[in-house]
Amino acid sequence: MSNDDNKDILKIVKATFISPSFFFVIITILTIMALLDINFFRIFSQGKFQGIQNLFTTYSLERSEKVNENILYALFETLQIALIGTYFGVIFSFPFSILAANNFNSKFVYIPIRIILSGIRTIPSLIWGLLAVIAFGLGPRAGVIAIIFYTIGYISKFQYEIFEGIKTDSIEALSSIGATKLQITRYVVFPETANELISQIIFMFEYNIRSSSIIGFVGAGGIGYLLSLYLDYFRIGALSTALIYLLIIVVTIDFIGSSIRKRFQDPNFEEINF
Amino acid sequence: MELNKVEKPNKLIVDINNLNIGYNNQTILSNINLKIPQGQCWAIIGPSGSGKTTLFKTINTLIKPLKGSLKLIDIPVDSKKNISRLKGKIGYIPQNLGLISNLNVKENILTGSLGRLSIFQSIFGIIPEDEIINTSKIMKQLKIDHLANKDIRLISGGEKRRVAIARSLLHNPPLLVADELLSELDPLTVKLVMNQVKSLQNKSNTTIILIEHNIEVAAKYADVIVVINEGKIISQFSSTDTTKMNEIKELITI
Repeated sequence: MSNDDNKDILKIVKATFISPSFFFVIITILTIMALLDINFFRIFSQGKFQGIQNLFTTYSLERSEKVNENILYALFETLQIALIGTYFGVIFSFPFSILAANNFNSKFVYIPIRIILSGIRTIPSLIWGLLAVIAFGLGPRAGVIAIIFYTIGYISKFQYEIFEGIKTDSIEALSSIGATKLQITRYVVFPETANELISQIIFMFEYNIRSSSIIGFVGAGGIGYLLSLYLDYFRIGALSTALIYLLIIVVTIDFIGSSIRKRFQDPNFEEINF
Repeated sequence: MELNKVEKPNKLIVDINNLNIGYNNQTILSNINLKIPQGQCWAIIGPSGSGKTTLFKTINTLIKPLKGSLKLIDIPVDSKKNISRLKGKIGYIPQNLGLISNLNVKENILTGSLGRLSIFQSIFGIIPEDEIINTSKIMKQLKIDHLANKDIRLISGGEKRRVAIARSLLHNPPLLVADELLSELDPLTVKLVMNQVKSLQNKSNTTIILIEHNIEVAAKYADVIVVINEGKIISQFSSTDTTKMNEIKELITI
């Protein structure tokens, strides 16, 4: 084979093969250089360490009965806000996610829906909380409404992206049987994407526990309100207790979430070693 | 058997005349003529990329033909109204079977009844009793009744194929099209699956079209073999025609 022939053959592969890992390495190096330039490591200097040390030594955890009671009540409220908000947010996101998928709809449907969805996502949960407090008054009801909006924005996006990756085989088979679009959604689209949906719902619930603790700062109920009060009165001990409780809740939910998710894995994984 | 054939009127289930099929004006199959009478089993063979699956999708009304006429079960495929009349009359088994994960074997087969369910029934999964009886019967016939509650991902390839067959036969279609149903199966399982399909076919007089790579298998189970190459039907002969068979075998063996 002549040299020219080899060149032609090399072209075939070169034209299509671009290594993503190469870009990844370059971007990582650039990022590290940028961070060094802004003195990233100053954060870990002696003086700052002293501050962190003070945080842990000066204040001790406040564990009076009253504090405990308040925290548990507020935490329960936060959990309720997150649960109800996630539940209704997920339910309301179904029609949005179906309408926003570009393989089920014409662009006159999915583009407007996507614009609405990204509009919802543009507004941070704290601002949703503020808007809901203005519209519905102080308290957990405002929190629930804020979480619902926030959840719709995110779950719909996650969902329609997964819907777009769905394979056509089962849809073809069922449509020849005579199934309608609604039936195909119910019996192909949702079951096929259920694993992803469930892990997204669990993720969203975990996330909503955190955001519902934040939106309390603007008066939308839950532990956030308590945290803001403790901060205002500089009761760092009680604040730390509240945060530890919150940590326990988040870790527990995370643990429960991952064990639920495990039930939806490919069952063949239990039989193979790799 | 011969007597039976005379008694039955020779109704054409698939009637294709001068059909051109393609995507975006690019013709993939040209000048296709196929006339398939009721109750027969036809096999389509041909190399990969010759347009077999495209032809199947057209027969399943998923692709609109560019030119020519297509008539299925005496209904011309030309308008949306006629296409919706055909829905539920064709059993289609796609190349990768199209079984739905996260539904178990029983539920997968029951999706075959969706065409007859009302919106309310299908959303809440309320299945009428006769559908359940039909499903149980067909599962028994195909010998998958012991798998009813099993996860669809945990059953073997042959069992998956039988589940797909059960689903597509549940609504008792006059026409069953199966895309590479038997590839990836060992000869013994092919025999098992095909014998069961054949016994079901004899009961309900279903017309079957298969895509098959193995000419021996095609000859054994099909009445007529159609050979497609590069978008054209190059040969069509009865599976009992040994001279033609040998000719084609010569052509495709390495």
